[in-house]
Amino acid sequence: MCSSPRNLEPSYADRTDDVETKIEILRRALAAGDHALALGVADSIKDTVASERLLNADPGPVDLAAAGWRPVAELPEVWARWADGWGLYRRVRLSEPVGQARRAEPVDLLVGMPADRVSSPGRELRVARIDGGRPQELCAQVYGEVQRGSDWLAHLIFEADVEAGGQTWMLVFCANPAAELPDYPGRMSVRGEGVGLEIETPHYVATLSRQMGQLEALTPKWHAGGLRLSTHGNGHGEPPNLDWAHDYTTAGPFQKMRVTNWSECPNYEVVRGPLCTIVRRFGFPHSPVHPLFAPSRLFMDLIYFLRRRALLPQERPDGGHVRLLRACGPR
Amino acid sequence: MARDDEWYFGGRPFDAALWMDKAGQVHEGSVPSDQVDQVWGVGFFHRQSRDSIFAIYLDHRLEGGAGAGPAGTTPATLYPHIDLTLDHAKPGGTPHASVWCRPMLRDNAWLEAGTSLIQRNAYLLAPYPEEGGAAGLEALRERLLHPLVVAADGTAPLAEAAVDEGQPLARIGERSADWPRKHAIWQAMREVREDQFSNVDASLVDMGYICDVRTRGREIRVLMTMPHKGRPKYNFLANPLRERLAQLPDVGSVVVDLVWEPAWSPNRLTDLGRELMGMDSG
Repeated sequence: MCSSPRNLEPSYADRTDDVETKIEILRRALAAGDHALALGVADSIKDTVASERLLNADPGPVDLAAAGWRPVAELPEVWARWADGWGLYRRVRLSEPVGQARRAEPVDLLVGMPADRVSSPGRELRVARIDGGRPQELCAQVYGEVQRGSDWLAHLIFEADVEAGGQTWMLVFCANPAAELPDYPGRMSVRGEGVGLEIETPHYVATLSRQMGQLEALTPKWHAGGLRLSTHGNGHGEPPNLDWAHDYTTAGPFQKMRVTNWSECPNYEVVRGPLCTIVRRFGFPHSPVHPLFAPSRLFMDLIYFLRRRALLPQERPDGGHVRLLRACGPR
Repeated sequence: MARDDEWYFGGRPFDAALWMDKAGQVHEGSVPSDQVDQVWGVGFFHRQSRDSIFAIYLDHRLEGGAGAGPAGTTPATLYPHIDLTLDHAKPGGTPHASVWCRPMLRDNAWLEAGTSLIQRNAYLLAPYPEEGGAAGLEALRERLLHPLVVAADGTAPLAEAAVDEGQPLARIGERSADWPRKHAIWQAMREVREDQFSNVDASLVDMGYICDVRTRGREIRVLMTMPHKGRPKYNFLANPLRERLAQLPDVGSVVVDLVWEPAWSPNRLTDLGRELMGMDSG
């Protein structure tokens, strides 16, 4: 008689199947006419893909590599004393390229950090600008934290002021084992769950559809008369969104689709913080006209990037109000 | 046929139209017929209230195959075209809305598998001043197309440091003098087992559940998350955590708050957590 059970599933790979194995189970289930099992396996495949994405997906080009950090002790003594608690820093130069002064322009950097010095980018990253020889902390937002090998990678957003044609330097800090989530005073509040959010800044309120996350209404706050931009109606029998879902007809006149009129959003991610709200939705369209037309062969990947002052894009190639359709057919 | 940017403003909040040409110049009124396929921005404003909304199209392109399809189709070509309707009305009805839309494909366009349509739009909701409104939009487009250039700069000379360093970067509990106490708190939390597992001896810290630890005098506040909402019995984990932290010297109260933001992810596992969960082995 055994005194303790032997662990037959010591590794992650022992406890679950990989995507290829699950696809094979799906094939067999369909061939056997077991559609209940097929639906279950299809869901399970999605879970595994989501997990693999978290652990292995390439987060994109790194702006500040993990190797470039310097000891804070190398800073001028008064600055090192000012940054007491933090172990590493690096300098970032911002240059204005077209002769227009920038005020509170958002900068989004993918930052690498050594995992043996940093426990949590969200807690430990800080940004400061140099003003009259004095470092001054800036409100910052961290999102998309992932570990890849011996590095942490995370997006760091802050706002910068730069004179026309000028330059400015920022100091970025990490590696403080005592650091706490900075909890900057919010200039942006996000209410709600899922994609049905209400985002409020000092300048406007944006309402996203509870059904599928499309922009439903905008209310500017400067307007004493209470202006609210919306459709004031039901459109063509579709959810009344200010930003109507893209529509298209495939070959033949009847298969008209609003491509993000999902009955519920199939995949989404929401980033909340003091400087911006990012709502990303993706998946295949379901026809609101008739389920026999759905899902179509177009893949939608749509990002709302909401800033304090306006519905504006982040200045990075894949950021902003991106709408990407990928044709996956014809079969 | 496809339309990829369509906005509908009911209640007629605007009484004038705006559009931006290929060079980025803003015009008031309707689009001349010879430029309808070269529109790179669109919007509306009200002459009295000066309320406005404006969309700037920063990027709009097809990537991938645009080859020939079956008879009756044409290779996909993107048209930066805008249909702009200031006073939208149904036949026989009265105007009730302002609408713009971009029908970007036409002539039964054929999209090959693997084709991507990419667009990046900026939308500005702001007053449109009579003086300088158009110039402001044109300047905004330039700034959006040419953002600040970022360079990691490890060698440039540092500015002259002021003697008075001002408000320090560290808040209460974040200075190097606070490291020993914080270290002791994290070590104590490493002794609190994730008791939902039968055999895995992993701590709440190694599982990445602890989001934040704040110390204010004798008070400790911990933000803790859980891996998902399927077993939301957080006191099952939070009570042993409170009890362990209360045993530390010089601790008055311990508050443990459950948060779902920031959300847990397997990236939050420590090296030991990954090892204990078998993430690094076959």
